[in-house]
Amino acid sequence: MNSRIRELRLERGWSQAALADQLDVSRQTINALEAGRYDPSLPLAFKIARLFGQPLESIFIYDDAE
Amino acid sequence: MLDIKKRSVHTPGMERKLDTHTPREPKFSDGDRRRNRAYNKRFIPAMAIYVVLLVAALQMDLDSLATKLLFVAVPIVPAALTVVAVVRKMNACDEYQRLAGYRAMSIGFGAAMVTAVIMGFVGIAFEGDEVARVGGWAVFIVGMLGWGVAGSATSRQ
Repeated sequence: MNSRIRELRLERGWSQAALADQLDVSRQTINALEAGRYDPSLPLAFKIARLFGQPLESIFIYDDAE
Repeated sequence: MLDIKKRSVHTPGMERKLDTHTPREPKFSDGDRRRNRAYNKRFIPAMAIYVVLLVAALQMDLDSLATKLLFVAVPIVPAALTVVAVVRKMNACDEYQRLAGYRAMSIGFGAAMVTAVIMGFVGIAFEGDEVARVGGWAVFIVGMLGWGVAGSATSRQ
């Protein structure tokens, strides 16, 4: 699954550590999410969507080919 | 339709600076540091107790059943404290770190089990020899190495 987390974070000028603190996760987790190595749980995905003020489907893009 | 190619407003080179840990941007978030401090507060005393007890145990004369049983019991308390520290750390981890942690542990466990089987056969083949006596330590060392290497490979990402 692809995500726009990195793009949205950079738009706001936040570092990975700053975003991690706002979501109460580790910087390593943000790195894994942005690199597409990890798909978040639904609660974390909703937390991310709420923080960026955008709907889930505009942040996480599911590719059928996957 | 989603506009996934939407460009963000930022200066060139900004991504790299915000992505990684520069001198001004530390590798760990505040939450990471808080969790690490809590873990070290439990793990370091457990290790210190273990070292003190180990040094004391090595001075013991194992000439009676009581001293032998006491010697065998030495690692139980620090090992239990270490297990508590690890379990509490895993509970404090976020979902990705917990997954990575359990994956690293399972690799260590698999390596330890394979070593246990090999050492079992070594024990039969070399019964009474010096090599047959290192079984437990070999299992411990290989298991911890497997866990440690898998864990550090994950945390470097």
